[in-house]
Amino acid sequence: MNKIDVLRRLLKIQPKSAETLYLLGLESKDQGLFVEASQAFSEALDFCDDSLRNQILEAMEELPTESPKECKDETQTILPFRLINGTKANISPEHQVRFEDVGGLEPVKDSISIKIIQPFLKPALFEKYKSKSGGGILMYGPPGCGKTYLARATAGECNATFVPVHISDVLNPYMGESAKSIRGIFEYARASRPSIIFIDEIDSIGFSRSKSSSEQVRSMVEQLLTEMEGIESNTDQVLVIGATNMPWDVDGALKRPGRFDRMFFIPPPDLDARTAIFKLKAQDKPVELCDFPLLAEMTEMYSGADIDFLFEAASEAVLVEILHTGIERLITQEDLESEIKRHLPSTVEWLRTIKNYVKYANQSGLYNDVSDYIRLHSEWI
Amino acid sequence: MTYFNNFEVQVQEIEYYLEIEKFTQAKKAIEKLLPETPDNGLLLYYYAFCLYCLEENEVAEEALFESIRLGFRNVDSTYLLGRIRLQCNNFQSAEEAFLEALEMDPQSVPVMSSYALLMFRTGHQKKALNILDQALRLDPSNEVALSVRFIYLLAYGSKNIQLEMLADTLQGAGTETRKLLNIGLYELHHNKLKDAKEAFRQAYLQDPTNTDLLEALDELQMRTSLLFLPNNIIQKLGGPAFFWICTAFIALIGKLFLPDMIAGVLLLILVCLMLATWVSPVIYLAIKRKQARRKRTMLKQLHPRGGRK
Amino acid sequence: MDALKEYWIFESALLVCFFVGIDLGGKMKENLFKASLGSKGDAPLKSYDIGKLLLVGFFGGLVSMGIIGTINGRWLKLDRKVLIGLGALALILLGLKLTLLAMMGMGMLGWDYRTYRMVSKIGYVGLFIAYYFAFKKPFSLFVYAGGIPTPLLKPGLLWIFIGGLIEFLMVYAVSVAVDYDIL
Repeated sequence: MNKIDVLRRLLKIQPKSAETLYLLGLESKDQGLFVEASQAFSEALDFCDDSLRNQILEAMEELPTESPKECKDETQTILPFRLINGTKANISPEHQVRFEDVGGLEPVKDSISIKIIQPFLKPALFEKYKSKSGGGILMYGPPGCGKTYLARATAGECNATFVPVHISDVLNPYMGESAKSIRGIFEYARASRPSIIFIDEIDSIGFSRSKSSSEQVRSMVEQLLTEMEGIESNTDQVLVIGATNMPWDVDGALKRPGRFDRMFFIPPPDLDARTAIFKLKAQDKPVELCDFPLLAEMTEMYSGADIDFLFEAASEAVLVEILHTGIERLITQEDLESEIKRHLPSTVEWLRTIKNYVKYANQSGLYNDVSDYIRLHSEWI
Repeated sequence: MTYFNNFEVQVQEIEYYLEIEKFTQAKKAIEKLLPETPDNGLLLYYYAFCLYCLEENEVAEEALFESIRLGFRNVDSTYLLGRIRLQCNNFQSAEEAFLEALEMDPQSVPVMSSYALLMFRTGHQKKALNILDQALRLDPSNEVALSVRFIYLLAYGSKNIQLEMLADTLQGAGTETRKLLNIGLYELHHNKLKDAKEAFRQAYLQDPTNTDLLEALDELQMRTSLLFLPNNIIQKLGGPAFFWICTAFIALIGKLFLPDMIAGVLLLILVCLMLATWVSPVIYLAIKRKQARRKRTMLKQLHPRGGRK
Repeated sequence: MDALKEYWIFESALLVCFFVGIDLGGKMKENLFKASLGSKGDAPLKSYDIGKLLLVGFFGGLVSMGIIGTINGRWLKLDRKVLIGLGALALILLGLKLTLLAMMGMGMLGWDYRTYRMVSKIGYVGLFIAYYFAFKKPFSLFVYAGGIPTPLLKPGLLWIFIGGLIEFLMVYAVSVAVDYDIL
């Protein structure tokens, strides 16, 4: 065990100890870990007194000024620009996805275009009518139906910075640190506006406070509410997209005007979308020419993930056959059809749950779109 | 935050999911992590806990044994073992587990309360009450102890005491869902079906994946419908026993003072009402089975495997 | 001297009670966390749906209701005295029924058979009501603690048949006895 490990253990006991952080910074600097040193010094500045502050600043000036490098160690999830934005988010480079890359779902895309994209692209027009561009939208639907992809496409259409956030980026066992992470994310997004923050599994980060007595949940939700309300800062041109499979678990206050005031139901892909997905999945696999429209017709209610799974299962079956017979062949239409016969769509269960939920909880009309969808596909659900 | 490695971050995530009772997500996260660290007793304990909450008791027990074998033997793991066995109706082994947990921590209120519940299930009422009293003396606001006491008082207590106990459980620790379930149970016990249905509906909205709650809600929906109107009338009149007493009384009065025809008609109405109460559950079951069969047939037509997993 | 002796006897008795009391108290506390399950007769609670027992009583009669009620009572581990009392009630009602039949046969009662049947049915329901109120609380606790009622259809039909047959034979025996002037 080296000095750095000892100091880290001390920090676990006393996370706000400026002296320990300073010593950790010095030790990291001596061992050439300049990124960690810089971070330790920055954190020490938060808790130190005046006398120690000067020492820390001196030590920071002695750090080399070369540009930060990405950590090669795979057990570390640190990226250098967390020093700036205060998050652990694995922030991706400018994405290339646009609506034309998303097959089908035309009604949803039109809706998002009118309510989200146009205000971003023509802020002056909407400013004239005193309409804010930004705010929050909540996408919900069965798992594997492209909520994340659609969010990326929305960001692409808006030419905005895409900031994906996952629960693991925010969680911290120390009191108040999770809320701090959320604040850091929003500060970064505001600094890089126009930007789109995409919070995957918003039902975990914004979990209903009435269902849990956890202080951590409470502090995260309250911070999220504060940030989205824009009380402390101007949130124009920052859009927050939340995605969830469980809209019933999202705190009620987050679904009120000013926060996630628009809810979009992302249904299982329609026929065009499924055809596009089949073509896309077949691209990088050894598949012979198939009748994708026919396969799409046979896979009503299948999600993108289900179709992906069909290809995986078909590949596995073909590989097993190859290993037995020794003869290589391509994946055929029959292989895919036989896998379709063996696997039910995974979206049906989710739709049954939401059908029962809507039966008892749709007095406000919040779930009218999913209600209509269920009515159209009642034979499945 | 930068002082945690990837494993610790993932464990944090699992612990968070467990805290907010998202057991399916926690299970998925653990299943991703377990292949990397198959000898982690704590992870296996968490896995067993998720499986228990998802009612996959056999696998939960296996995972828990493995966790104990790897050295994670403490009050929590032994208590969980007791709960799993209780859920599987293995009462003797559940008792062994609870007693072992109490040896390790004689003041553990949740273990005492669960042991009291076991004693109630096996007919040792006096012992159960003594244990429960001890538990509540140690921690009067413990959720598990209050729930068990509430169950007992619902059966044996007077209405006032039940209300007091309900108020205690509502003010104590515990999630909104559990509090609503307690309210629903109280209303159901007093045959206030509409109020019970509303409480269960609100509880269901908190957790729509709870299929037991959905079944209870559907049944209440049916029981408050026209099909069960005779049953509700009789309940309102005081229950089947009281209704039969009235029928007998009316029959005697009718025989003595009223013309035969009128007495006969009155009696016929009352008997038909009673018969309707016996017949309506049968009709309800038949309707449900027919609906399920129709759904399966339609699904089969839409998909070759329709209905079968 | 006698007063002193009395005093010492009294004090010793108190001390003995004190230590025995502690020991007993200690034993009681100890017993709370001692295994109670596992002996031969220690089965978990079981019960039929007590509301449905009415059907058995109504169609089967006093013997059916008495037998199935006793079985259910033992399953619910009801107090022995209560079970004996209910059994005695069943026997009393049965005796009353047979007595009324005999009185009818001997012309001491101006009832027709329909009235007799109606009164019998009232008796059956009365017995059910007695069992129902005895079972109500233990059954509620059984259900709320997670127990699932045992299906009643097959055993119910069986006891309706057996009990009905026994009662029929008793009624027949009384009728024959009246006809042949034995009673």
